[in-house]
Amino acid sequence: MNAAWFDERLILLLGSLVALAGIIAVNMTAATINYPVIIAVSGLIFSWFVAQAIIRRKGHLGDPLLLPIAIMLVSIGLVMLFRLKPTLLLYQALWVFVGICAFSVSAFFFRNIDELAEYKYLCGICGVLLLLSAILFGVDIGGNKNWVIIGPVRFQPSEFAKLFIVVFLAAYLNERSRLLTLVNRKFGPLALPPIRFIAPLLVVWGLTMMMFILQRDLGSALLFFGIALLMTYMASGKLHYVVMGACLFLLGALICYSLYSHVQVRVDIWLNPWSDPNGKAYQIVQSLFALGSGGILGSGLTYGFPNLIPEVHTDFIFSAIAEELGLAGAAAVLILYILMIYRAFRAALLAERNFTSLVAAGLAAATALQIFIIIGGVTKFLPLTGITLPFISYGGSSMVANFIVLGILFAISEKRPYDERQ
Amino acid sequence: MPIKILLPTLISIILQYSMVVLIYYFLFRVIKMIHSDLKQVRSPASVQAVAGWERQPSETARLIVIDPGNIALQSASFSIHESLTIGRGKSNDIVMDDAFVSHDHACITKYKHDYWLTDLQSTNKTYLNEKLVTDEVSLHEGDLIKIGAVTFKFER
Repeated sequence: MNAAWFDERLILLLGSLVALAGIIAVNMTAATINYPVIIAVSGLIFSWFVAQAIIRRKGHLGDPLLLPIAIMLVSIGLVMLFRLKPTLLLYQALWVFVGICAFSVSAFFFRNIDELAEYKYLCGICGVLLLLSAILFGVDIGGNKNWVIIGPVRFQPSEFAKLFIVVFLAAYLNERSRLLTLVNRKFGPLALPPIRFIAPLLVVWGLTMMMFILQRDLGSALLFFGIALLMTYMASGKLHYVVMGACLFLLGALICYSLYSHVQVRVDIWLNPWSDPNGKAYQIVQSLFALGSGGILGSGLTYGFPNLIPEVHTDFIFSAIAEELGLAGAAAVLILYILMIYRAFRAALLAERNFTSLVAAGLAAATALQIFIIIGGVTKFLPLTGITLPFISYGGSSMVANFIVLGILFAISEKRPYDERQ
Repeated sequence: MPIKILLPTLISIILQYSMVVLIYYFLFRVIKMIHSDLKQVRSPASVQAVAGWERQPSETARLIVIDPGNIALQSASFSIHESLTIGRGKSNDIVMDDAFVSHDHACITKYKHDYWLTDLQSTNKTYLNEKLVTDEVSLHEGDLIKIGAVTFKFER
């Protein structure tokens, strides 16, 4: 019907072909065909084409690049997961399917996202409760106490809390963007508005410090604090907040470093992993070996040894990609993320209302920060923190939450004439 | 026997390379779409918006947006040449997408060396320095024009 939709379908097809080619290539090295997996992946391919067709048939004019880029990342993730942990692939396929359904629903549901601003305190309370639930009832699975188990369901609340916190901050900051630019108090070179206008930011700081101390979840703490800071900066345009926030975070981090041994271990293995390469620093050292041995084209799927890295299928999947697909694969993944973030910020810039613009920019910043923190962690650029790589890592919560984020961005990216927006 | 081992390996290697090639072809198509998209954005409206930001020579008068209300305007300042129309209709010089604003709300025209503000019988009226505009009024430096929730400052 439209040239852009045709292009969208074409690049979706390319993403699907990557998934199929990768899965069959991995099958071939074992010289057997794993039929359930091929059927599951074919079903997924069918499901995302159906989702695209339904969305366009219903006249949704969202950005034609967001879904295909996510699908390409998902395809790369599925291939890597099949190579690393074949037994988990069917679960992951199920989660991708749930994610695509969530994407399709949220693409329509969040069309009138303006109305969400009315429920900002509800969103804020939901976000804080989700974070608190992880702090209070968190169960330790794989080193981080960020899992909550309710009956048969176990999930990582911080992935969903991200969404609520961004919506809350967007609505809150949008209402107070003028007040935030008021300056009536000076602390040396820093000029600050009255304390009560920045109280929610201090609350977020307190929460993240709690996460940091009680949950040992350095990654999520950094992520949530970063989101709050970046959104305040985007709403007010004042650099003071970023400087003040960074100082607060550094102060908190220093106090934690001197008080808690697990933080000291994290920082010490970051500064010098070679002091204990077979013990505490085993994971990061193996990751560095994987990255280094990949070279330009990589060892080829199944020809490397990424399974030596503990948790390779979740947090360290980027190292596995860099080892087996080399610089070519790792760079492609990074470019895909850059393009996705670019499209998200573009949606934010084109949005007509400040609130929607802030939501889109906040989600884009949150995703970008998450990618930066985990890739920085596995490449030893930052101290290692366990968070997932969006759309690629194994994990149901992360996959579904990221597809909902994508759905919201997709809904915001839609440009419709004002008169039809009732 | 060797062919039975060699063939799957060969297929696997070919598929792996084609996978990387496909990923990069995907990136090429995406960047091509972004490129054509960037060309589309350079429509007259955005060029006009960019021009609005530039410093105008002192003899042309300008309307500066003081308070944009909740409305997305094309630019933060608009230069007035011979005339300037304000309203909800797409053909106006300043399009204000708000139900409060009439289709053709107000206009400013240049006559000799003065600029005149006229309310085009709008439903919700135009205000000049908090006073209702009933007749044609001449504008002076620093005058505040209020339409709906939006306030403009006249500068020349």
